[in-house]
Amino acid sequence: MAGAEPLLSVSGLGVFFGGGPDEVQATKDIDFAVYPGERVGIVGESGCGKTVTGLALLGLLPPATTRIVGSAMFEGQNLIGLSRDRLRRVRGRKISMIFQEPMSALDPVFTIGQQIGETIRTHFGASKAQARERAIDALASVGIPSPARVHDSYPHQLSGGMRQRAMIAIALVCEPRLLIADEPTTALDVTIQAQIIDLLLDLSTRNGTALLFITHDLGVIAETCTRMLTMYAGQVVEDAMVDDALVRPLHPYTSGLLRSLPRLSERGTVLPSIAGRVPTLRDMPTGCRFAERCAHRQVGCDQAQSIARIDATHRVRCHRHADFVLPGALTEREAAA
Amino acid sequence: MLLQVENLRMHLHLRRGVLQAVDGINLHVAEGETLGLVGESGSGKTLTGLSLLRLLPKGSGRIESGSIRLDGQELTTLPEAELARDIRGRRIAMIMQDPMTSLNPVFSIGDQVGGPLRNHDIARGTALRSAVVDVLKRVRIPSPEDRLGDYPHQFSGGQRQRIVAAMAIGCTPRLLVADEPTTALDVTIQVQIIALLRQIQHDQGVGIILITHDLGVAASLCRRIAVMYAGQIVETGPVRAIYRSPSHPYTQALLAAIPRLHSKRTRLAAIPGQPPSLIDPPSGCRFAARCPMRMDQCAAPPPTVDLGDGHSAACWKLAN
Repeated sequence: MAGAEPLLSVSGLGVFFGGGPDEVQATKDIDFAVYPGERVGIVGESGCGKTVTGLALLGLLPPATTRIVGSAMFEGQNLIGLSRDRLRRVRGRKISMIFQEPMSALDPVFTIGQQIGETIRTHFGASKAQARERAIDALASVGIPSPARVHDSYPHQLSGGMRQRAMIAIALVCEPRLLIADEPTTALDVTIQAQIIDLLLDLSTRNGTALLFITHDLGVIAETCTRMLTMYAGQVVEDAMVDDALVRPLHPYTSGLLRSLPRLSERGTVLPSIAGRVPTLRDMPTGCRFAERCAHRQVGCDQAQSIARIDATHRVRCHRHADFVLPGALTEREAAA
Repeated sequence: MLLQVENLRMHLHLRRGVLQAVDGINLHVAEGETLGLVGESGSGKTLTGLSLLRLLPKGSGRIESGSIRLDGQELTTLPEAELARDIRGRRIAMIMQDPMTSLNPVFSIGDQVGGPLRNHDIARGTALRSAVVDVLKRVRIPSPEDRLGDYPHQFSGGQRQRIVAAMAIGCTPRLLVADEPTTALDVTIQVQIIALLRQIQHDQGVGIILITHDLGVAASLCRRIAVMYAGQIVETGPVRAIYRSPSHPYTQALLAAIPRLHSKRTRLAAIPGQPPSLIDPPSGCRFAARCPMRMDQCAAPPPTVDLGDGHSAACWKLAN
């Protein structure tokens, strides 16, 4: 991607909740870039801040109880602090988001057609008839078998997989430059998940839509993304090409996460587990946030860790990264096979 | 054989028709063995598990035919009172997916883990207290004696699932039905629960039926698995045989659909369509409508074909 301008450039992004003396910091110093057409995965366990990061980019966090610092440059404007009106012009048009549970994103009292048509009319000022035609096309493009019927259906009349497709159709009808997908397949069965992943890959290749894929499922990341960001306790701890991260992770947490995946090929092997648990937001260490659980902890780990650039595509937040070789999810040989 | 299930049919009598949720299931579990029951949502795996305990949906669920034998004792005809006293929670215990639905938020952990021991008259008074501490130790809750008065919300998600496991194993059951015990948990916690189940199996020789949609989890815990589709078992056998040479087209599609770490950018083989409605399902093979290898014969119920080494699959293609 060298030479190209990033589509999205996030720097120093931090989200605070609560306000006043009880304010807690949910995410800290988030830095990353997404290039046009690139597919980037954000992985991490519940509570690590991956969803909050996605919501912060789109201004979807409750303003009364949230404070956001840092910047997120998208096509020359900073999304953070953008007025509601200007943000509305970006949201759904240039950047769309899809969620884990389609029922929470779809309005139960409007038909799919009304919901998709609203997006089209808001952003393109199309007539009702034009909007209908375009909406049916969009539903067909996500592989919905009888798009006209689905257009006139209410969300509860559709199966889970169909609802997820309808939500994707709404998200993609304006051909956004960036799609933020937050666990879009987590609630689905694997055979339906495979259909949705195919669809997202297809749309991204065909329209050049960049994808920011938030998921806890490393298999999904490996299938869909070229680059992955690993988050832990509100920070990005590693940013690497997927191939690299799976075989040669540099952060002990990434390595632990990769090694805890059950594999189809091995039975009875005891998966190594990471001892302890994630520190709470109120009790965040000032040094490395993973140190307490880390087998490689040493003097110096109690100092705040900055994210260091190893090469053009690999960054890691661990001052000891050069001291050890960590196992990943795949050996060099498996990766080459 | 610890558990022997033959031709079990459990249907739901709903206003819109009879839903053939569990339709002709055969399975067996030996002492100390873990059988994986895998399949997608709606395939009937949870209802199969619940049928073993006769925890059927009230008013609609009915066991139509078949037999369930635990240590040789027939359970389908056992009177409800006896089942509640001797079997449910005593000789067969269950762990549910979401610990918060199994734990009551307003009772202390000591009360809840002690509940089954009290109900089945296994321990009382100080003996009960020490039995509870002991079982919480076995599931590795740190310093349990200090935490008996704590409530579920004071524990982490992984610890809550351990507490649910403690409730299940307190009465030293013969069979443990674990329904998606790791699904609600993060992978790093999932690993710990898998290790715990393995330890329970090893220490107590309990038979386990692991119900899961996650073939990776099934592979790490089970020697044998049964694959369910639309209320029926379509393939069963040793984990290795099924992963290396899946024989039923549905098992093949299921395995191909799992995202792998090293198959990047090769397309996932998505099978089109969805499972059939189980109200008036097709009388022949229930997978036929989605099957890339469909033939005319598939309109009739497929035979179960023995592939050797305990591996079998229900498919016309294999019979020819």
